[in-house]
Amino acid sequence: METCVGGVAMDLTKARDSRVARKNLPFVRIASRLRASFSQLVRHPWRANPTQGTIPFPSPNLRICRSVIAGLVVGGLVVVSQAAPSRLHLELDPPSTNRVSDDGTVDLQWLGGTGPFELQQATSEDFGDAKTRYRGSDTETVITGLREGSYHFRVREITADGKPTNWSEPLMMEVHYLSRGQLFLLLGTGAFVTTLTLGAIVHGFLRHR
Amino acid sequence: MMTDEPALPVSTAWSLVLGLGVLWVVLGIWWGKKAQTSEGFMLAGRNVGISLGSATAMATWVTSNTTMVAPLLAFEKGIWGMLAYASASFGLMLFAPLAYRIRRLLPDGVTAGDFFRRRYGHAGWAVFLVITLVYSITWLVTMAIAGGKLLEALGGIDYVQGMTLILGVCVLYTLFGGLYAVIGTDFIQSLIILVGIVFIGFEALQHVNVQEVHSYLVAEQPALLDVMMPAALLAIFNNMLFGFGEVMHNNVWWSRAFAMREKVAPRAFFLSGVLWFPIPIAAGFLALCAGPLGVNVTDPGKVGPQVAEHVLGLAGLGSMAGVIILVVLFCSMASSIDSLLAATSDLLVRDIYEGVFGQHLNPEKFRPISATAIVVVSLIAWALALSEWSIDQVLFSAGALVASLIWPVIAGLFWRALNVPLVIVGIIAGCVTGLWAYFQIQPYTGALVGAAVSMVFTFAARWVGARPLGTLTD
Repeated sequence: METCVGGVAMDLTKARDSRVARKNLPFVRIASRLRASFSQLVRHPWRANPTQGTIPFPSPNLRICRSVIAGLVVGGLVVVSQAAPSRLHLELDPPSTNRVSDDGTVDLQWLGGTGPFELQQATSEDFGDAKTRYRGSDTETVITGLREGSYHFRVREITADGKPTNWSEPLMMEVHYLSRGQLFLLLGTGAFVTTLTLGAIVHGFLRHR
Repeated sequence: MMTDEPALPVSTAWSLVLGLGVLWVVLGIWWGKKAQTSEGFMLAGRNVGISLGSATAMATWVTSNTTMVAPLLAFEKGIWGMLAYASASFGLMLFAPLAYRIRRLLPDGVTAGDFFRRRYGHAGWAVFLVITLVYSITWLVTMAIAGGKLLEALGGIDYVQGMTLILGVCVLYTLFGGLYAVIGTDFIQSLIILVGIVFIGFEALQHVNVQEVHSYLVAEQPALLDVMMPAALLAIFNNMLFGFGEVMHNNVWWSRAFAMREKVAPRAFFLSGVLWFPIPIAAGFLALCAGPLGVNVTDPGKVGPQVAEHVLGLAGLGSMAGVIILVVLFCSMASSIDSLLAATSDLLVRDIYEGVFGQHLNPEKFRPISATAIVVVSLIAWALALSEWSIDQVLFSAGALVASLIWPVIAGLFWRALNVPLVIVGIIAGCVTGLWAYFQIQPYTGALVGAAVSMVFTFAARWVGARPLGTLTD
């Protein structure tokens, strides 16, 4: 496997210049075979041509080489895909699919690590304006006092040797307050009832004193 | 930082709670010697002076909600949230002129039920009893649950054992001493609470100043300083009306109005409101210091004790921090539990035993009957507290119920004519609409809507089919 890939990347010019000296080297023999196989691939299409005696299928060396390369590519994708997302999972506490807060309070918890952790908050999806909201060993925090808008959160673990892991999947929350119309109606009602209550008590007391 | 680890060793927590419990029970037995009649047991001889009167009203109004919910409101709703909770003190202040009128109209009154029975008849009395018993027992259960959780968090004492211990201590000294014991222990507990809160607030200011807190809030929690934060603004009027309703209807306050000397009651209630007002503000300020002090809040319901423990730790007090917090919180809960036990058992004796069942409380029978009532109430509360129910929702939703009684009380005390059935309909309508608003619109609208609807019906009752009201004496 290793030689097959190395053969593709090899500078064959140098191999040609010292062909006599190197021709017996195993690496050179394999590289030569590889080159021959690729030449075959270019000159001999996949479709079979029995009248010219062409080989209808790739040669064994070419099959092996392509299989190896395919395997390396797939294996590399698997490794990369496993490395990219963090094992940390960020969610609301308690877990909920409701992503709207009506008072600017967000209760977060994260699972899957031992800490310490770093939690970031941003208003943009790409975390361009991110700021750290928490650093420490706790696995949850409550953030309050957020104004109306969208907020993005993500968390990562700081490993024992000081290196941070990848960030968790981000969590987005929106803060929407009660509508102004509804608010003023309720406030007006409250002020009216309270004023009348105070007035009735004071008036009654003064009248019956 | 308050983590899952208890702040105190279990043995220390047990010693502290048992020591305080023995002190209260001994004092209860000593003061109980004065309670030789039912009037002495239920109303402390109707002779309480201004210092004890103010102290008992203030201490009873300081509950675990004051030390834990006030910081929670400040942490989530900011400055307005803090002021919203403090506005409940206006209920105590406004009860001052009402107490004056109550003593004039009901010189021989014993419970708030006497007023509702004589003014609104048996129908109004029944509605009142349902509302007040539901509210009082719910309040008692929340205190018991808070006590159990406090002892578990601070001292590692098992929840059931801690909750049983707090209830048991309060039951014992209330049993032996009645309202004498309740008022006497309230005086001592109020001093401990005031000194503790002032000390913790002073220590907080040693480690962070107001300018730092302001700068941090502007940068990290700007909405907490906003004038137009809707949830906070709604909380102001709702909490105020909740406080009005709670004080104006509940027998805890009526029994104190009857217990104090006639000219003392108004001044004592007003003074207690003034004394109580800064306590939620001090507790709320602690919560606002969480960020600047670097305290990570994981449970907003515990932000007050969490920051207090952190501040006292910075002051170098070590495990004494847990001792101070436990003592202050224990006193705040005990001062409310004993009052609720006494007032609710008085209602059961006077209104249910005597009123509904037509029994007469003679001098030989009052102690066992009263004791039975206290034990029954405490057993009900203990059984409900065992489940660790999230009963806070029940308590806060009951704001709609108690706020519906504000205007019927005002009208019954000060007006000369009323359509009584219409007022009763208004109470029920206020309860229904208030609960609807609580669950459908916002929690901070229940009391507001309940009071508003009841007010409309009561005003209508003044002019539609109104009949002259008689005196309140039998």
